[in-house]
Amino acid sequence: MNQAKNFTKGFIRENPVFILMLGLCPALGTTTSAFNGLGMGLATMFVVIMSNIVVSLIKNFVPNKVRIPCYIVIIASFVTIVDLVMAGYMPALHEQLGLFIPLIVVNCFVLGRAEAFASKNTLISSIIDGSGMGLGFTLALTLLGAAREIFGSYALFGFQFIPADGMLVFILAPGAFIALGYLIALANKLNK
Amino acid sequence: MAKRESTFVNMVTALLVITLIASASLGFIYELTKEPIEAARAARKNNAIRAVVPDFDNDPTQEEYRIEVPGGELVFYPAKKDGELVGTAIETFTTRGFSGEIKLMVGLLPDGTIYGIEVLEHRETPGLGDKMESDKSDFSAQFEGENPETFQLRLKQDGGDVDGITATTISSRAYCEAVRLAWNVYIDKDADVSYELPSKEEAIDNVLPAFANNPVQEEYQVVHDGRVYNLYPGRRGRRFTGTAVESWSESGYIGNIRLLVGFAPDGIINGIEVLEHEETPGYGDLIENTRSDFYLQFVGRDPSREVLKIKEDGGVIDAISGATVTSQAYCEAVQRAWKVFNEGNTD
Repeated sequence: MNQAKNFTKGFIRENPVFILMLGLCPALGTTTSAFNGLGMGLATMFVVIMSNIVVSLIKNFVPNKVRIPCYIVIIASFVTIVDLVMAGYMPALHEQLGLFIPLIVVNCFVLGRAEAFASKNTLISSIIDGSGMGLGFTLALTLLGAAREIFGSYALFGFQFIPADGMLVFILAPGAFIALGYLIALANKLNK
Repeated sequence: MAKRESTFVNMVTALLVITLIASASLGFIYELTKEPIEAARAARKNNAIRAVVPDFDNDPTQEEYRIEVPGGELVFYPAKKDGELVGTAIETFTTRGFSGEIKLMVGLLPDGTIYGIEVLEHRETPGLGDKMESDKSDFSAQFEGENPETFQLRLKQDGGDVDGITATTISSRAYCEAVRLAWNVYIDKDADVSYELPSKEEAIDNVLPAFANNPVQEEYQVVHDGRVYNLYPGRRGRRFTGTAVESWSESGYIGNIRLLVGFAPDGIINGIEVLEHEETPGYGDLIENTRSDFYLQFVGRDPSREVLKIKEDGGVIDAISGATVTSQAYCEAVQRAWKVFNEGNTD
């Protein structure tokens, strides 16, 4: 497979959130602001790259019937590592995202990459796939977070551009669905 | 290398090896990050203390002391300069936030004036409740320099002096409550803070029309349907101004609800206060006068002409949403009080 295509497919064409509709739980839950979306996206990206690496390395060692539990253990370990390292060295970010980090374990997007790609491809392809898909996921979460922050708080990355209370609904859960719906429509339009 | 077959031995070894490596590396990372995590936690606490009290030169965490309160404990960090107390940072909490516990660091000057407040921990809605953090809105700034002696630590809509955060009443109210707890315990270390409900005297004062006597001293009992009720008559000179009836219901969502219902001489409800309850924070506890206007629906009503039940039961009262059982029990207690007032002794 063409590696450049392999890398860019996650941005729009196979974007995990907008097209594959995977990992929607953190996508909806954490994106109350662009910064939160970005942080969550980067943390997930780290996990997906690392788990892709390990899964592709051990793909022949793991028997088929127990592959899912093995992948979950690997993913959970990397998530815990992210959680601990973040708590120790980036306490401010951890305070923001701490609640959602454990959610990465059950993010079907991460497991999906391990199962659908890394377990069948070479190490290099898997790293590129993980980086591209992770970037796509980060992009999606940041966009969604930005949209919600812009309408919900009239701010972007914490910078307030209209000094007023925004449209509350975008900060709350229903706004996540509304904003995601429009972004999915947009992504589908671009994909044509 | 070809893929290994799914034989029993292969599966067990694969799982065993992977879990072993995973747990070993996690243990290693845990040890590695243990110190930084603790340091980060301590730094956050120290920063919070530094932000809420004036300059000090001692180590307040070395001189901390704890006072137990219902539901937990408050931690006091005395800040001293040249050996003299310049302020006290108090780690306080409330469980009545919109999404559970909120922990605050409240800094008081020696005379009880609030110097600063920082949020230590919360799980309130991002974009709404998290505006209580000092870097996200000016909400916490309005407390600075105020002495709760004169500054009522309640929301304006609850009769206090605090401007709540828009659309975030429950979080703002919980915040005030945590500050109030810290201040009350600081001022009076033996203060009874189990329920922040009015004392009987305060309640009588609130539910009876103006009186000049001491209703508590003139307390008398009425037996009605086998239950004994306390009644407190209000007088002004020789004129009878009203009666407060202490009533209750056993059918609250969790337990008993005890009310004090004040009647004018013609039987019209003049006021109601909750004396005691154990209902769910955020739902049933909205029966408290400081938490919602539920009680106002009763004031001015004549129980001989109107059915003081919730609408679902054919009455005129809007139940608190999510707390139907509590609302029903409240109505029951009010109706009992009225029967006692109206019919007197039945036995």
